[in-house]
Formats: sequence, C-alpha cells, structure tokens
Amino acid sequence: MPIRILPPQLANQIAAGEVVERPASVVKELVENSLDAGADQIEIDIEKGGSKLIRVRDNGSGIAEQELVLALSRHATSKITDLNDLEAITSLGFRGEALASISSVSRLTLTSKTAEQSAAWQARAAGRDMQVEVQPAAHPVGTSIEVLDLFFNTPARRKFLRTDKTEFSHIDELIKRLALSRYDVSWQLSHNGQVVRRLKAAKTEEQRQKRVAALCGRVFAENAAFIQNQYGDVRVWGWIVQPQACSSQSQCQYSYVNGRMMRDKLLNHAIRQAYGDLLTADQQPAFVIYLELDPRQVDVNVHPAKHEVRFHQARLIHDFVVSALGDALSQLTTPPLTEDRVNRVQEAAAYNYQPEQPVSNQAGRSSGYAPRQPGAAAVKRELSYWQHSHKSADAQTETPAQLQPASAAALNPSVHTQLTDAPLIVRNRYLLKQHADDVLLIDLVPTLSAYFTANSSAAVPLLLPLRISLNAAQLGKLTQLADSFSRTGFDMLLTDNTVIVRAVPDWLRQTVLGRWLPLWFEQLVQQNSDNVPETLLLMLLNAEGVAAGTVLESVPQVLSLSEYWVSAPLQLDTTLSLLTRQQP
Amino acid sequence: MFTSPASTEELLARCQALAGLTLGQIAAQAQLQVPANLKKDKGWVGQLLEQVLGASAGSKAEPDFPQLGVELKTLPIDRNGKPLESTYVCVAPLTGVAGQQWHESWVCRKLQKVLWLPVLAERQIPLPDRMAGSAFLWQPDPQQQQALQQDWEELMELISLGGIHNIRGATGKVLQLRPKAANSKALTDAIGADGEPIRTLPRGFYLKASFTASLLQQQFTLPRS
Repeated sequence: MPIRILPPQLANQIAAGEVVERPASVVKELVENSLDAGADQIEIDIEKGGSKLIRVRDNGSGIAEQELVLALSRHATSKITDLNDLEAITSLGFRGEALASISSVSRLTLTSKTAEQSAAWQARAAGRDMQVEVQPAAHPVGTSIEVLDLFFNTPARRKFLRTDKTEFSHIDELIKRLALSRYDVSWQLSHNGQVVRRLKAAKTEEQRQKRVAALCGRVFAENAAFIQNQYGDVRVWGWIVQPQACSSQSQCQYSYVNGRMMRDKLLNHAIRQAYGDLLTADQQPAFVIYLELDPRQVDVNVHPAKHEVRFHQARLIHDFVVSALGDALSQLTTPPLTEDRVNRVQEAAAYNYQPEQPVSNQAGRSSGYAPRQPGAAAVKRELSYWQHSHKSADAQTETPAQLQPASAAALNPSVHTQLTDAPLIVRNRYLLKQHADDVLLIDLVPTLSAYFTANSSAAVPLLLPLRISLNAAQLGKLTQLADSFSRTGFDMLLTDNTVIVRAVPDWLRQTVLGRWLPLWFEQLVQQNSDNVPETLLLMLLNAEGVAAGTVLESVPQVLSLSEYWVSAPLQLDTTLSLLTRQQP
Repeated sequence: MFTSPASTEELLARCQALAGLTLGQIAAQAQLQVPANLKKDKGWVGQLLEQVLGASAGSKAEPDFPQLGVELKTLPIDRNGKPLESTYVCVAPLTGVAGQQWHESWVCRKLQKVLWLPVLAERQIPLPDRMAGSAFLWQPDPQQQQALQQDWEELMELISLGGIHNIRGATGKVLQLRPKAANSKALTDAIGADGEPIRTLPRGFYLKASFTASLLQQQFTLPRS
C-alpha cells in the first residue's frame, strides 16, 4: 500500500479511540468543557445509556459564531496558546481533540451563544472531510452539545457497549465525581426523561457536607471526618472515613489534584499507607481527598484521559499526604485500649521528645501511626527546603556526577613536564644541560643521592604494605641505616625477622617494589654501603629499568640547584673535528 | 585497655602503626584469640580493629569514634587493591521515613567522615595471615556526595512508593540496596505496592565495590584497570 495522508475523519476516529471509550467518556469531555467555560449550571440529559442521546447544556461563556467552525476541528482549543501554558495547566482540557473526536464517531450538534451576540448559532460537522455547516438557532447564553447515535459509524466500538443501565451507571458515577470537584456548580442529570440527580450549588460548609452525604452515602457521611493540612503552596483537604467504618466493598474513593479527578496510583498509595495497619487486609479505605498545589509542579499531559498525573517531587507530595492523613487518622481514632495499643501510644509519646533522631524510627516498629507525628514535621521541613532551593538543585543535577578521581593527571605527570622542558638524558644516567656557554654532563646518580641525602623526602603510604623476611645480616644493616631510610622517604617497621615497608618516596610508587626491595637489602649488606639513595639509584637505573627522567620529575628543583651537581663540561673537540672533516 | 583516641591525628597514627601487621600479630598484641574461621564470627575482623583503635560505639547508632565524628570501615581487598565486596553502610529504613531528606539520612551522616582501613583478605589467605593496609580518612567530595544523594533519593522513592520489590542490586550507581538478614525468616515492616503494610526482608544500604575501588584509586593513585 502506498503511504497516504489520512482523511480528517479517519484521523479523528483514530484519536477518538483514545478519548472516547464509552458514553461516559463523552460526558466527561463535554462537562469539562462546560466547566472550563465557567458555567455554574450544567444539565446532562441521557437517553438509552447515552448510546441514543447525550446532551450537555451549560450557562458558560459560549462560543462566538466565527469560532464555531474551529471548535469542531482537531487541535483547535482556546485553553492554551503556547508550550509555556502546557507547563502550568489550569483548565481541565487542553488537547483540542475532544469535540473533533466525538463528532467523528457520532452526529454532533453544537449550539452556542455568547453574551455579546444577539442570536445563537448552531454548527454540525458531517462527511468525510468534516465540513462544518453553521446556521442560526435559538439558545440562551451558554452552550448545548447534542451527541446522537454514538458510534453509529464505528460498529466495532458499538459492540463493546454494555446495557443501557450499565452505561448509565458509569455516567452517574462520573457525574458524582465531577460534582464533588465543583461545589459551586449546580448539576442536573436525567436518564430517559427522569431526573436522577439534582444538586444545588453548595456555598456554605454545611451545604458542601450535604452534597458529600448525598453523593457518598449515609455511612460515609456519618463516619467521615473533615481534614485539612497545608504547607507552603501544597494543600490537602477533604473527608476520610475512620478505619472502623471502612468496609470491604470499595466505597467512595475519590481523589482530586487541582480540581481534576484522578485515579492516581501515587495518591492511592499514600492514602492506603496513611491508614497503615489500622485496616485489615480486606478493608478498603474510603475518602474524598483534594490536593492543591502549584500547577507547575504537576504534569497532567501524561494520559489522554488525564486519569494520572506526574508530580515533579513525587516522594515529597506522597509523604506530605501520608503524614497529613496519618495525623488526622490518629486524632480521629479512639483506639480500643488493648495492651498492645497502649504500648504503641507510649512509644509514640516518648518519640516526640526526640524528633530530631530518625535513628529511632527505624527500629522495625509495627505501630500504626507512631512515626507520623515527627514525620509531618520532617515532610514540612523537606517541603520548605525544596520549595526554597529547588531552583539551585535543578541547576546542580544538570552536571553529571563525575566519580572519576582526579588521578588521571597524577598518574601521568610526565606529560606536561616533558612538553615544557624535556631533559636530555643519555644512558639513563647522564643529563645534558646547557650552562653558560658550555654543555654540562651531569651524573644523576651522585647528584640525586646528594640531594636526597640533604633533603628528606615525603613518604607516601602504600595501600598494601610489603612484608619482607630478613636474615640476621640484613636486619643489622637495616637497623643501622634506619635514619637514612626514613630521610629518603621510607617508612619501615622491623618486627621479628620481617621488615614491613609501609611507605616509600613518591618516585618509587610505580615500581615493582616486591621484586627489587629484597635485592636491594641484599646489596646493601654485600657492598657494605651506607649511602641509601646511591645504592638505590645505581640498582634501579641500571638493573630495574627505572627511567632517570621519572626520578628527576619527582624533584625537578635539582636542576636549578647547582650545588648538588656532579658534572663536567662536555668535550666537544672530537665531535667538532669530525664535523669539519665531513664538510666538502 | 584501649582508650579512645583524643584526636584524628592520634587515630591516624594508631592506624599507621597497624599497617602491614597481620591480623594474627594484631590479635596477639591485644591478647585475643584468632578464630579458626569467620563462619561463626562474621564481624570478628571489624571488631578486632575497632577494639585496638579504641572505637567506642559498638553497634550503637552513632559513629565509631563519636567525639571525632569518624566512622570506621574495614575494606577487604585483594593483592591488586581491588575491593572484594560491597561495603555495608547502614540499615535501610523501610517505614516511618516520611519526608526524610538526604542530609538527615543515616547514609549521609554515616559517610560524612570515614576512616577506611583496607585489609588484604583474599579467601585463600588464612585468617591470622591477613594483613592490615594503610588506613586513610575520606570525606565525600561534591561529586561523590551528589552521586550518593541521587542514588539514595531514587532508592528511597522506590521504598516510600511501594516499589521495594522492584529494587535490584543494579539499581543505583554507587549505592545499592540489598537484603540484610540472618535468614529468610527474619521479616520486617514495609510499605506495599498499594500502600498497605507488608512484611519483607530487612534491607541495608551498601556502597558498591566499584565505588570503593575508585576511592582507593583516588587515594593511592593505583593504575586503572
């Protein structure tokens, strides 16, 4: 098949697959539009579970005549204008897909009037290219949307619809959730012409309680406690049911983030955790919880239906909810005074005297709420820490953690030394150096020994000290030369018949100490020499292949301290005469 | 018999005096018996060195040298200076850690000032012949601190949000979380995937061997492998 651009209707039908799952999802999109349009009166009429008719009528701001056509096209929205808006979503919708998607799988009519217009206008999209027809109509200020014959043109989807009763119960559940998100809106829901719910706008605390009671049931209302907790710009409030009243059937479990209804795993997790073992395995928590925070701290653009959000500081938000609800629950419950419970309370009380020690937190406590009191303080501290410092923290995290030790340069110090003034060394012993008009040949062995004898070197510890067995003669020699060794930069300890070499001068660190140290001790005895650095240098430069340049690098100052030099001017005569003979 | 050192210098001097001695020699100085093997005395090496250096805390929840704020860690290494195992830091709190932040955490506090005491402890070397290496004092530099913090935050997020069973040894670059228990029956409280209380194996924070290897390399400029 050749590659082609999809016709708009097909593209919209595909998009509809994500957003429009069943009639209730249509209702959700339409009602959220009404709420975003500022309506405070919303009526929803359903026929046959929504498969025949879904009508949402609001008194919101309405859509202007010239925008009606746009309103039905895909990726058209008034809710955001640029990417920055997406970072801080305050409206319920923003994707600009709902109406186009719904109209691609139904017969959709949109009637609207703004306050400025004298007449209302009606728009409907039809056909393969979704051409929009606009005609005058009669309607008060606000918008009505009629969705007829949902999925009439996508039989596959239609097959997934359940009975009218089931589909309507989904819609009813949805309206319950939405009504709990906006107490200031009055709602009416009808099914097949019968009013099922009528909720007046709730202005006072009492009216709000009443709405919760009406929507969540009597048991919930009798056992729920109002809670509220705030720190900085994070606020949590709502109702939670006492643990004793939680049943095994899931009752109301409604959570909202910035007014948006959620089925968020993180929040549910936090709520369940707050109950701890106040609930048995088959009890379900019941709650209506609202979380409000700076919209920039939440990413709602995670899921097309926006059931889930992402918090930028997930653990902090989670812990804040846990501690806020946990505190409330511990005040709420008057626990039965079993012995076990008494112990826990005492433990908790004792704990409060030393809240700065999370140390004692850890002791595998099985208590339901004991650790929460200090927890709340800790969460608040952390939140404030984060609220104040998250900008700099962000900047920090941009630099990748570098664990490489700064030893790369130390490992290979020769690189830049050689580049700047590479000493000219012949036979691994004699250094050529320009001095006045002469070239001097410096014998490095006596020169460096003189320097090492006159100046003590720093001893660098070995990760693993070396243990070398000694015979009596060696032991005597080493004891005799102890001072000299230590000046040269060795840290040695003689115990029993063993010498422990703990530290060596820096320039010996990269040599194979274990091989030459025993040889050297033997040579010291045989040659009966007392000059520690000289025997060392003679042996290492000749037999052990240590480069004289490397030794020199550890003490470059020697090259400018002529008092240590053992040198003679280079005799150039022979070389010069050779040169003269070669000239033609 | 062993007093606690009055200063960090004194502590380092004591360590230096131990460098190169075998555990047998150290134990003899302290008039202690070397056990035949470590099967029953798993912590014997650490306890011996703590004792001869004058550490006081024992298993209390404070640094080994409280007045110096120094934590002692023995570090078993092979003859090439490679750590043989990861290094235990502390028990991981699985509950009651709401809102804890990095600089209040045990891990952070334990690792503020560590006296690393390497011990040549290859398996085939008999216990009395194992040798103490050169100890050194370490404080995390900003990069190390940040790497530790990032790992800790990631691990704590998993613990708090019920993801403890998804934590593998490979989670974390420098810090890892592993079960730490005498056997598989010792269980402790934790938070499950749905926020419900669960029982699970106690966990501990460990520094990965690659991290301690980098510390040794940094300190002793060992050739890199």
